[in-house]
This record gives sequence, C-alpha cells and structure tokens, in this order.
Amino acid sequence: MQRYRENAAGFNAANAAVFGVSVDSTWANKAFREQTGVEFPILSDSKKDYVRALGLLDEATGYARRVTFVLDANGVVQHIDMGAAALDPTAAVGACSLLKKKTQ
Amino acid sequence: MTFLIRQGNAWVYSPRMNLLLSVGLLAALAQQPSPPAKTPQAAPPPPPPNVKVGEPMPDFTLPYLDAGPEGRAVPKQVKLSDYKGKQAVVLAFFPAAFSPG
Repeated sequence: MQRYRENAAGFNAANAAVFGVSVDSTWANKAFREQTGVEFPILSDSKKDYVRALGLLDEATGYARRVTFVLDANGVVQHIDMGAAALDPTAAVGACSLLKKKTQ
Repeated sequence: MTFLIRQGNAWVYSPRMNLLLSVGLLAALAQQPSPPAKTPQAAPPPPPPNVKVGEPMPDFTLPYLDAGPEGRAVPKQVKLSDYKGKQAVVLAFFPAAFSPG
C-alpha cells in the first residue's frame, strides 16, 4: 500500500479514485493507514464475500490474493496486475493515464 | 543388533534367537516400499480472478474508518457504483494490513 501512496500524484493526475481492499477489520485497516500515511480509503471485506466472489480468496490463508484492478469510468475492468506485479503500481498508473487520454 | 530373551526372571542373550530375529527384521525392512523420489515442483500459480479485462466489475459496498477530528474514527462506506459515469477506479486488493506493498 505504501507504494500506492507514493504514486498518489499519478493517480490524482489521471482523476482515478484509489481504494485498498483487504479482509482485515476496519480498525486494523485504520491503524495500517495511519501508520503508513496512506491517504486513500482501505476498505474492509471482513465477511470475505466480495473477495470470494471474485475468486481472490486464498482459502489456505483466509486472506485475499494481491490483485489490482483498474476500472474505467463505466466500471469496466481495463487492466489487472496480479501477485508481485501488483506490488508495483506503475502499470496501474499508466493504465489510468491512458484512460484519461481516451476520454479527453 | 542384539535381542534379549526372557528366561525365568532374567533377560539373557541367545545367539540363535538373535540370528532368527535379525534375519526376520532385515527381510521386513527389505520389503518396505522405497519412498517416492521427490521431484521439486514450483507451487502452481494462483487462479486468475473471475473478472477479466473487458468485463464489468461487480458492485460492492464496503466499510472503512476515516480519521475524524481528535483522532476519532468515523465509519464510512464506499459503493463502487457511485463512481460509475464519473471517474476511473483503482481497486488494490492486498492480503493483510501491515503487509508490504
């Protein structure tokens, strides 16, 4: 999440709303956000219904897998980063910039 | 290898008994199947998400706690469809709070 925070300017420039999502409690995510200085909301899917529906729940650990989705303004998925690739938001920022160019 | 047999109240060494038992034990060991050879295999890659590029993201309403005045927690929620027709959205799913990335 820290690296997404560091790229906040890029996401803002592309007029993209950024959300982190984990299965942790809202309190854990609030503490995490405060510790890391992440400005965007970190949402809690503590019932795990949404991550399970997306096929992102690692049943062995009970945690969500690391995946980043970039949606266009119509809510359609335009870019997906999975696993280690999702640690680096550079591609996601690029996808957002591209979306902005398309709509201009 | 040495086996003792009980005679009366004492344990004694019997060469003949030891020979019999040793042969029997070796035969039993020899019949055991050898463990299968271990082939190092990388963990299979995790399955891809159910939603693919070009498909609409399913809607959600999920909560978070925003920092209010004096550090108070303010419960809020985000509904994905509220952003429809307005702006692009980045959803970064991650395993757990206090994990890298």
